[in-house]
Amino acid sequence: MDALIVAGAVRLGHRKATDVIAGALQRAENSNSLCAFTHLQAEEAMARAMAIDSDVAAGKNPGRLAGVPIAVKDNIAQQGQPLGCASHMLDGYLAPKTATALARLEAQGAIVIGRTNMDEFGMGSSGENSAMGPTKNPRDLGCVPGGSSSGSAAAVAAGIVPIALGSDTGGSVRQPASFCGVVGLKPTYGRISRSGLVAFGSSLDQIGPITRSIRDAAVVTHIMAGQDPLDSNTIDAPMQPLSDERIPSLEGQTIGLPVQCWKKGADSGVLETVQSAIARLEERGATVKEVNIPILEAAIPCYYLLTSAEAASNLARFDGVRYGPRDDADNLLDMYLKTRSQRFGPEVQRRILLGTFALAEGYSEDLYVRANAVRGLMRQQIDSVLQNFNALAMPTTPTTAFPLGEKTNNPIEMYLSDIYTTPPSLTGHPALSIPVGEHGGLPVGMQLVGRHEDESGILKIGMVAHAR
Amino acid sequence: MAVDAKTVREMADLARLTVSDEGIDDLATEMNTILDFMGAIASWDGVQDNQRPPAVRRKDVPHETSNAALMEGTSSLEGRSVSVPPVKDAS
Repeated sequence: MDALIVAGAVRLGHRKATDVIAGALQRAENSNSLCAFTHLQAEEAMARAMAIDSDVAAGKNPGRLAGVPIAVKDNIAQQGQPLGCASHMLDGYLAPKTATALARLEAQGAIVIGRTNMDEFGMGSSGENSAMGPTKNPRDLGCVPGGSSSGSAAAVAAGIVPIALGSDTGGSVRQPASFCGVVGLKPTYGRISRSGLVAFGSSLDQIGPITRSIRDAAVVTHIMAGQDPLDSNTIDAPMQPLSDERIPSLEGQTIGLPVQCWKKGADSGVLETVQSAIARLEERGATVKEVNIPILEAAIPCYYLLTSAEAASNLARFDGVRYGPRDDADNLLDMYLKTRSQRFGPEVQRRILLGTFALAEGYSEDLYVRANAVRGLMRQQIDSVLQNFNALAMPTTPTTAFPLGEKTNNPIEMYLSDIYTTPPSLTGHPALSIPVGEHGGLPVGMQLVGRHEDESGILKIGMVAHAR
Repeated sequence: MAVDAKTVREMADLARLTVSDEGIDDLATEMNTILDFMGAIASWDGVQDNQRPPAVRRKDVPHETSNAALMEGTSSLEGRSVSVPPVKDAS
């Protein structure tokens, strides 16, 4: 059931928040085989639900998300709860504060029932790089749910919660949303505070919602959005409200199809399914045109060079001294080496090495500096195209969810899963993945990329394309 | 842009990671494959070479750290511990 319907029923006293939360916790327990959660917090969740029921009984306003159960990715801080990033590096670590985005949801009555599994520190596209074990796709338990927000997407797709928070650095909300058949939004960079989000690639990281309905995604984003003194990159631009129409008219809207995303590499069944959704947009009045953006082809190397460099720097803080456990050794240097080498997983170590190389003397000019220049050019080109288009549309991923283990030994194949999702992450544009149909029995997602700060524009187009 | 075992070892030292002798050749091969793929970035350029600001960086040299070296650099010692003045509620 959608979050807004649940909240309405709780506010009106038609449903008890305690019943709603007990139901969600039971569903989470029953879905253990998905490995979607790293931690459930039944006691705290039930206590908050009782408080909301008391508020309703006392005639107080319990908030727009009253009694709505939510799940939170294990890299978003919640005071006093485990903050593990699905890594042994943070075994037993408890968050000292709550992330701004989550605090804003809780202030509106949302109740966290648990923390969700993920690729370690956000590094992965399949949900398999978790120290807690791989998450499974609720639509096919033999397939990956995507990543890195694997548990969040699986929890929503399995109907455990109507809303889950993920974080998106290069597609980590949109790609698993696509693989699991749910809605995932990466807002404009700066729309939502990163305070309390464990940093991976700081210049790209954004918290985003994974939901079953577009309207829920819009409301959750609206609540989380806004300036925050704890994140100097947050923007002070109002987010426009979503259209009230169930299927709005798209008269006057122009949508671009980047030719680079509609040719080689993508599964023909995925392309046909997304093409059918494009036809629905045209039926509602949109004009659709092909557009050429050659620099999109540089997105994957550009993304992996920049994020690996940022990750190598950001993850230097995890050395056994300040966060999480440490492994004993005879001297300080050996303690660093032992702790980091034994507690970071293989993909995290691979990216730290790659990032260290990209920043190293003698190589950085050809790698990091050049990738930054390409990033600037990519933003210019996409901004320029979006002066004439309201949105760009393409498949979210080149294939549907792939079998567990299929790409674990081939990092480049795995990286290519993000080929369509990395450009808006590099340029900061908002991007939305919506389920638009199925191919081979698995969900297919369409990605819409909008102008800066125009989440409402892509959400409106998404309402037309969304297949439910 | 070939990466050999020696380079991987240097990068690992800088990153405070350990690479086993048995795994280092495989890792070098894997890094080469990834870096060859990333090397495609060379065919794209956002700005002219002469518009780029010169990069000025310190030398990338892995350096040893020891308890004794750290202790030598501290201003206040109490036995084997470093004495740190209070920050919170200090006035």
